[in-house]
Amino acid sequence: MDSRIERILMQVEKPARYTGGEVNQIIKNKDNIDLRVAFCFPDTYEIGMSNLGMSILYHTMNSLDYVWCERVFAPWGDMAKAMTDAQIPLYALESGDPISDFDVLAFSIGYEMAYTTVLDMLSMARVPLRSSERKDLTPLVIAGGSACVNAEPIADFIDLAIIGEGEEVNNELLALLKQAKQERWSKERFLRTASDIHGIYVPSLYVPVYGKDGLLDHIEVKDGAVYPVKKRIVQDLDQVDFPVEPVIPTTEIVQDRVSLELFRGCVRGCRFCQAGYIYRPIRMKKSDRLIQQGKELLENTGYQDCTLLSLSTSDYRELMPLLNGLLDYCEPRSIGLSLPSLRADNFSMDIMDRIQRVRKSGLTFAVEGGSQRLRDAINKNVTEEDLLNTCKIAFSGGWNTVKLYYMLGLPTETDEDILGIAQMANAVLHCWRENAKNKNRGVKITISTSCFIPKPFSPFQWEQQITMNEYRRRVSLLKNAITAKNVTYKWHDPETSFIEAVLSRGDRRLADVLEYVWKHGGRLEAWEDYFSYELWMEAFSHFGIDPSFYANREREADEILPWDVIDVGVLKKHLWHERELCYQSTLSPDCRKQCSACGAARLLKKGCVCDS
Amino acid sequence: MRTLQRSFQRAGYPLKYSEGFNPHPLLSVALPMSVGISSDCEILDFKMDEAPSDLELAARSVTNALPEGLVIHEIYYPEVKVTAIKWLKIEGILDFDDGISDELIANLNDVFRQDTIEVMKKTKKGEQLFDCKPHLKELAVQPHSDQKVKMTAVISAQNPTVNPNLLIKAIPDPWRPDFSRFHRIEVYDEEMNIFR
Repeated sequence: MDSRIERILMQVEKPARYTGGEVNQIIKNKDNIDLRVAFCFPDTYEIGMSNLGMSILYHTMNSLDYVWCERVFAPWGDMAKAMTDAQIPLYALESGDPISDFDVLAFSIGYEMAYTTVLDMLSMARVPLRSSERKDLTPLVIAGGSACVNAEPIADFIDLAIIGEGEEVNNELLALLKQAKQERWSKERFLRTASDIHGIYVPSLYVPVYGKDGLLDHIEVKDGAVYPVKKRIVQDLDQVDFPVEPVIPTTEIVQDRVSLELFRGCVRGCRFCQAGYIYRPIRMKKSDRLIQQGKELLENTGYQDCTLLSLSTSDYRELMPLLNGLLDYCEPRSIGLSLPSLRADNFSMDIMDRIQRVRKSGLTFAVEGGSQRLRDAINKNVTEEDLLNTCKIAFSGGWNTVKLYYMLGLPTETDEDILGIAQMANAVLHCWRENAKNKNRGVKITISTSCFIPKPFSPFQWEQQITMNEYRRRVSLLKNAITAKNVTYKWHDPETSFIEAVLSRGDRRLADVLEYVWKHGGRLEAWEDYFSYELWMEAFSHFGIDPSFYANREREADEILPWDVIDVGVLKKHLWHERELCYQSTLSPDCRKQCSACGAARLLKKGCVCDS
Repeated sequence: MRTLQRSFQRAGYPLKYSEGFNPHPLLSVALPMSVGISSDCEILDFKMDEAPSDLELAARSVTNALPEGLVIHEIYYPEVKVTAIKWLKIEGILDFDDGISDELIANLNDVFRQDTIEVMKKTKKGEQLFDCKPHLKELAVQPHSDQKVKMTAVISAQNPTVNPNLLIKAIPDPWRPDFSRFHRIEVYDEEMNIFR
């Protein structure tokens, strides 16, 4: 280890974040490698190492013998400062080598608030920030992850974005880069050729032209590039590589457990939910394969907990066989099984009976809207009756902690809807009084609200976000309506949601703002410790940009949206139709009752069927 | 702790779990180390449901499952409680970026030859003045390279615990090293017999 790093490690919190050396990290001989990839996660080690996508892609990229992919995370503030003071550039954990010499800097971006951290990591790596300033073929700066469905705010900083799932397209890209490097291609030639690979978006080939009103007039496509750029998916999840020997952190991380992904996509179509649309079509893994992988993972890692991941676990078609198979293995070994993302509507006594056999955790329900009318409008198909039934089973089964999550500011929301949240909390409390096994232990009901953020590729992509003051008014309305002492109300501050709303539907004109915020110390902005609302506002005003243009403005049906350059599968007209149904408070049947022909199935190869 | 516990699990030697609301593996380190210290002599107490038939094989298997650099030297049934550990032999490498001299070595030795070696020590009751001298056996300082000094010492491992960094703190400013790292060599009982 570099002796300078050894010294600063003694001064910083949680040094194990920065040492590498974990079990199952992949070490290769760099003399036998053609491409070195720095897989950069623009957040801390604990967050990045908990990311299943990162774990999968680390292994798929390293499956190429000519590639060595290493991990890089954003150092916490103390380490970042110590590194800057000691003039240590950002390095990769496996080799300890500075990443500026690598061929690819690949960022996984799951949320918009990480944008400034991307800039900071580029800067710490001593790589020029803007794509136009990096003339050579390498280092190539690429990005992927769900935030990249609208990569426009960071478009000027990256050379290309991966749209969709990376298992296959990443390796196709790396194969092309290997060839380009050997044949000494120019960066332009490489990018143009790469743009022909399905799932690759090269921002420099698409130039947005704005009208006098500030709206996007059209998108100029250069050099005959594909338009729109189609999202890439893995056709068969059972066939694709899945790591059963993941890197095992030596220090505690956020999700310190085995994660099993049951399926991608969601049959529900909640209208506020971007994930519910951008991960379509629905593809599931077979339960016998999952049981096998789960056992192997538990054996290979020694973890004592296992989580089943998906957008809506109760909708997994083979849930019962899966649970039975896993519990047969887990129970005798004291391994806990957790099922986040269960729906309140079909939550059965059976499931609960099964998972509580090892460890009992709290219950959390994302109810989202306070009245049936509003829940119908947002297509969140959960009734109060379902919720109370579930609570009844839970309370009589000995649970005594319930968390209910809501959003304030959803389209069509009225004060009556908000007061409905307080009423529902009272109903849950009443349900506990009627059904609790042991009342001496008391009950804890927590209501949480956050400010709704309209996201691209959801039916609410045209909606305005309510203003921060309006959010505060709604919070205090709810606060005053909650009187029971067993009910706690927690609300998120609206400032971060406002900035996130600006960035998630932002365009390339925000590049300067991002650079300004970063230059003035903005990094790890997803953390309260670092987020500075004032700094963002200062940046907007410095460039004469009105943030409410992005956050609080309702878009017209025919407006060209900055992310129209991307085709995620679900059609724009389907999203609009769903939005119209919202204003009629009309539910859409879930995909299993009736296919809505949303368009996502177009991404499947011939012979493959959505949700089969 | 998690790293150790998972390694036993991975190696196929699952630990015994406590019986309670939130079961946890029964595993404890006799002398927990502060961050940055390395060691050749850690003692780990653990319980298993089933005793392994071949302890040597178990030691090798768990070692293979551990992160590189961590080695289980021996697994045995304890006869003496770990509270009987009293002394700890350590070795420190002290960096002096501007180089070392005979004078420096002499000064450092003088510091540790004094009748008292007092430093402020953080305790549960707040910071208190602490005299290291009675809890110290043998301390020698000698040149190691052009910029490094080697320090060997036998210090009290518990009741009270002397953190080797306290000894660095006791060095007056002009001779204080730019950086130091410590390594544990061996553990002993009260009578300086090697503890096992």
